[in-house]
Formats: sequence, structure tokens, C-alpha cells
Amino acid sequence: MIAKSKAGTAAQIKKKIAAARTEADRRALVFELKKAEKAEKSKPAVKAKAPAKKPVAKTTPKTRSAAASKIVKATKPKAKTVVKSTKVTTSTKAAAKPKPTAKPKTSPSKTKAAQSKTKTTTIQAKAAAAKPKSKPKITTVKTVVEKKLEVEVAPEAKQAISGYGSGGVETVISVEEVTRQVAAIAEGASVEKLEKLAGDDSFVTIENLHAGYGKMEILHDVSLRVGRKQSLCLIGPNGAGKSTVLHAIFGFNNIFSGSIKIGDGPDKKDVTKLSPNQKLSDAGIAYILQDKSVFPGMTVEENLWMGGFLKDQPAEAKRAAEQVFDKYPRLAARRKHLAKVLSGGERRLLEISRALVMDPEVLLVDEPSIGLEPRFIDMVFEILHDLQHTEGKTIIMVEQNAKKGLEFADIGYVLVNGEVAIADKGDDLLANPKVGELFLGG
Amino acid sequence: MSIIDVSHVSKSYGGVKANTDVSIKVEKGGITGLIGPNGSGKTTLFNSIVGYHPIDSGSIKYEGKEISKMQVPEIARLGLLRTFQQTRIYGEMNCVENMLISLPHRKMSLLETLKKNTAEDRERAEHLLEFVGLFEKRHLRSGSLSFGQQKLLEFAMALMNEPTVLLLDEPTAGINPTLINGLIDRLKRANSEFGITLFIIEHNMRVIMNMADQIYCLAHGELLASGNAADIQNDQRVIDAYLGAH
Repeated sequence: MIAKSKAGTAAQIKKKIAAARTEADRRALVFELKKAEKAEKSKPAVKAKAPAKKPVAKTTPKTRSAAASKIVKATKPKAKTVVKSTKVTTSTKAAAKPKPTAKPKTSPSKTKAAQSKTKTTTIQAKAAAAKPKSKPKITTVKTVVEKKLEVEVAPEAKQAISGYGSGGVETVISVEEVTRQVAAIAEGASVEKLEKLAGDDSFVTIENLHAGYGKMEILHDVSLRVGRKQSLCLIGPNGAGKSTVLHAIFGFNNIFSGSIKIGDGPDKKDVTKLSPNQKLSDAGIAYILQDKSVFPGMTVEENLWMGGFLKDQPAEAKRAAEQVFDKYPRLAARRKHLAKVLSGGERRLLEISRALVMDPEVLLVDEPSIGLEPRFIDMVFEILHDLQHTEGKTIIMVEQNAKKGLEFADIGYVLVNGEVAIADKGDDLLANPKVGELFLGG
Repeated sequence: MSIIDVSHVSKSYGGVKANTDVSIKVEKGGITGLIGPNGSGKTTLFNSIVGYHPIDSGSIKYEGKEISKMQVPEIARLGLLRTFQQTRIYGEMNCVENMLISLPHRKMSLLETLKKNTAEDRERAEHLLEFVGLFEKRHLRSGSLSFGQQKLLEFAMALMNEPTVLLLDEPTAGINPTLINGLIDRLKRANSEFGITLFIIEHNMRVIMNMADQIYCLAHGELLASGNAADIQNDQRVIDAYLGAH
């Protein structure tokens, strides 16, 4: 599918090709040129007919989406410039030609090439490299009008995003742009700040962790502090390394360097090298997976017994399971049913309860509300709230439903490209408009 | 004109009535939403449409032709494609290879399919990968991507295949909210510029209400309500069964 070119008309692109500095830029522009020429030959795309000033909340979905696509069209030029500079990394010519330097003021192709040689760079250097040296000058009347529309429509069109899935979808930012903008607002997360957020008495302590899968390092120098009976929510773009942090704590991946310690006060136990089984039985850490992880052919009861498989005697596991059933009558009502007939919310409840059979201190919850209908999202967060405040568990979670996640958690960390970009109280992160725009959808 | 016409379809699995007498019309060139509580039969309906299993009763027509007795590959070749809740990408291949495998070979002549992939094909693949933020990871084994990234790859592969109708099963579950906005934008453009009909299962109301022209709500395997976004949001039955007080 060849979409219309965002870089301007065919004539404008031809001029840019002539002015292109690197082979990769030229190739990208040639691609854009083909698109523009094809688009100019065929009928123009359906343009929104709705007047810009109409308040979006009252319009039908069609006009709302038309207004939304207007804003998107107007914001396109900004997004595209960053995307171009990313393509440069792949061209070997671009890497060979310029002198490798990491100065932010040099052209994007040079610094990006230097980066491709180094394995790990800080977020700051990456953003500096990705910054386009100048926006392409698009001075047609059409674009000026579109930009004006953007200013007029945007405030009205924006609707508050809620944790139940209502709100607008107008904030469209490319993935590269998000990375770039994050660097601009990243305060870094100094250990002092992390300690302070954890109430100066950290129960789960991660220090300078480098971890990943196989030989691939995903987490670069990640530190984490969460106090006993506190909850921490990890948010961030897809592929940032959020689940990797949980996997590393539990022992599911390779830890290249750094340490993980459990315990408050001066006597912290170093659990970095423990196996997952040991983590569960000795260190009191339980993991609730992102994927569906019930045993579908077993009953609810049998699933809970399986939660206690590390106990010395099956009878102990059964006793512990009964305690869990007492706590969750909804689950008890379905105890003889096969796990595969449970609806999504009940399945999640079973997955959480199964983790409780070993009576862990720390719960690692990977996307508690994923795939759940709105009512069950509430239920899951209520359960976790109870586990934290009544049972005194320490909870570290990953949540893409960042609104709900940050409302729930005491502390939030924003993870980008394997590093902690921002760390703050959950409520403060929610109130941060930049965080909202880059990670919460608006 | 409806491009998919589901008429009085029922399907049971070993005692569980997954779908009971469900009738749905998917408008050609439009965006239709399918919502409902967990376990209400939405994915089962998708599976019935694409031919994963036979239906117990009723009929499913695609472009006027009965497809309920056809095999999955036959239906796919008609341009009726679907994505999955738990992704089905080719884990051992890298992202670019996954994309190239998704080229619509049904639209090419035999000779074209036997030739090597052209530079234009590769550029299209890379362009779509860039859009979902996978450009830098495009030569990595796709099985090593995170769940969200695999979902994005599956999304890109679906677009690469230039479907006539695309059935999307919870496409945004596990995807970062800001990126969701970009995906919605892309889907809307695919719909408006290329006329791809979309039929989407979603729990994220932000996605459905901002996209769908027509929404169907299932509950306990039956059709509960249908209408446009405003109708559905204000329908008391839907609020009781699914939306709650939000």
C-alpha cells in the first residue's frame, strides 16, 4: 500500500533530492517521490468536510475522525523529519563518509553514524543525534491553512483519556519522535531520588542492572528501589524493557552485571543468582505472567494446588489453597470448573490467586489488566489494592493502561530503551502533561 | 452494501454455546466494531467467519458468496484476513522476512511470485516497520521481540498483505497508548484511502468509539445491541452488561 507522501508535492521532493546530503536521505526521498507522483495521478484522498470549530465531543464518529485526521495531517511534517534521520543508520556509505563525532550540533547523519558503532549510548546522545538540523520548508498555502487548523482544532478536539478507554485519539506521535522528546524531558533517575521515593528504606533493591536475553542486552544500568508494602508501576513504549525488569528480578533472563537484593534495613539478601524456583520458595517473590497462564485442562482447584507445587507436601499446598478460596468466594464458586471455561476476569483472578498460594512478600505483576473488559479492570486493581494495603504485599507491576497503573501505584518509573528516563510519584507522573502526551495517549 | 453477511449463526463447543443465533452485517468500506464482555463469543465469531471451524447453523456470506463451508486458505485468498489476540508471527524469521512473506501473492502472476522480492517490496516492508517503530529491530529474530512489538509486527504484516477486509482481534491490547493513536490513524487511512473494510474486536472503548461507524455488542453468545457509537454508549443493556458506569 502506497500512502500519500507527507514530504510535500512531487516538485518539492525533487528539489529536496537535489539537496540531499547522504545516499540514505536521497533514497528515502526517492521513495517519497514515487508516492507523491502516484498520489498526484490518482484522486485525492477524502478530505474532512466538517468545520474546524465544531466541538468534537458532540460530533458523530465520522466528523470526529475527520477532525482528528486533519490534525494528524498538519502534524505530519514534524514527525516525518525525525523519521528520515533514523533511516541513516542503515546506510554504510553514511557511516563511512562523515567523521564520527557525538556533538549535538553536527548533522543528524554524522552523529547517527557514530552511534551505530557504539553499542550503548545514553538517551541524551541519541536524542541529540536524532534532532533534525532543519525542518523542510513547506510554505504552500495549503500547509499554512492546515497548521492554522491544528491550532484551532486541537484544544477542542482533545478529550481526557481515562483508564477505562474513553477519550480522544488525536495525539499522533511517531515512535522516533517519542524517543527524542523523552530525552528532552528525562531528568534521569538519580539513586538519591529513587531512594527517597521508596521512603528511604528500600525493600526490593536493584543496583546497576545490565540484563537481557541470550547475548542481547536490553537493560542498561537500571536501578530500582521500592519500599515494603509499596507499589511501583513501570510504564513506557513497547520494547522498552519493562517485562525484562520483572524477568530479571525473577531469574527468567541473563543478568550480565548488577545486583538484586531483597530485605529492608541493613540486612539485605542478595538474590541475583537464585533460580526462579528458589525465588518463589526462598525469597518470597511470585510472578504473574502477562500471557494466559492457567492450565486449561485442569480445574480451578487443581490450578491453585499447582501454585503450591514447591511445598514439601501436597497437603500443605491444599491447605494454602483453601485459605485462598476463603479469601475469594467468586473463585471458590467455580472450583470444580475447568480453567478453560473461565472468562477473562476470572482467569486473571485465578492467576493472581495461584501466585498467593506460596504466600509471597513481593508480587511481580505483568500487565494485570491486559485484554480485560472495563469492569474486570476495576476488579483486578481492587484485588491488588487489597493485597498491598491489607495483606502488606510489595507490588511491582508493568501496565500499558498507564492511567490505571499510575493511579494505583505509589511510584512510577518511565522506561525507555532499557533505561529509567523518569521516576516520580504515581500521581505526579499522571499530572505531567508531557508524560501524558508521550505515554498515556494524550 | 454488506461485504460480510453473518446470518443466524450458532456455534457450540462441547456443551458451551459460544454463539447463538448471531446476525451481523459488515458494511463494505466501513469500520465495524464488535464489543462485549470476556467470554461473550467475539473471537468465536471471527473464527467462524474465517473458516477455522464449521458453524452449527446459519450462513456466512462474503461478497454475496457463501463461505461457511470453505477452507481457511481459500477464504484468505479472497482477501479476507484476520489478526490474533496472541500473535502468530513467524518467530524464527526476522521482521523483514515476516513482512515479505506477507506480500499478497494472490494478486501476482505465477511468474511474479517465483521471482525474488523487488527493492520496492523491501522498501514498502521497511516503511511499514518504521511506522510501528520496528525499523531498528528489523533484522532481529521476530521471536525475540516483546509481546507488544510482536503485535505491532502482526499489524504491519496485515497491512502489507493489502486485504479487502481485515478482521482485527484486540489489536491494541498491550500496546502503548500513544502508539495506539498512531495505529488508529493508520487504520483509518487504510480504510479511507484504500477502501479496506475493517471489523474490529476491542475492549478499549477509546479505539472503538473513535473509529467505528457501526458497533455490535455481544453478551453470553448472543447479539445484545447494535448501533453507532452514540447509540451503544447510551444503551442501558450495554451499560449493564459491559460498560458499567464509566
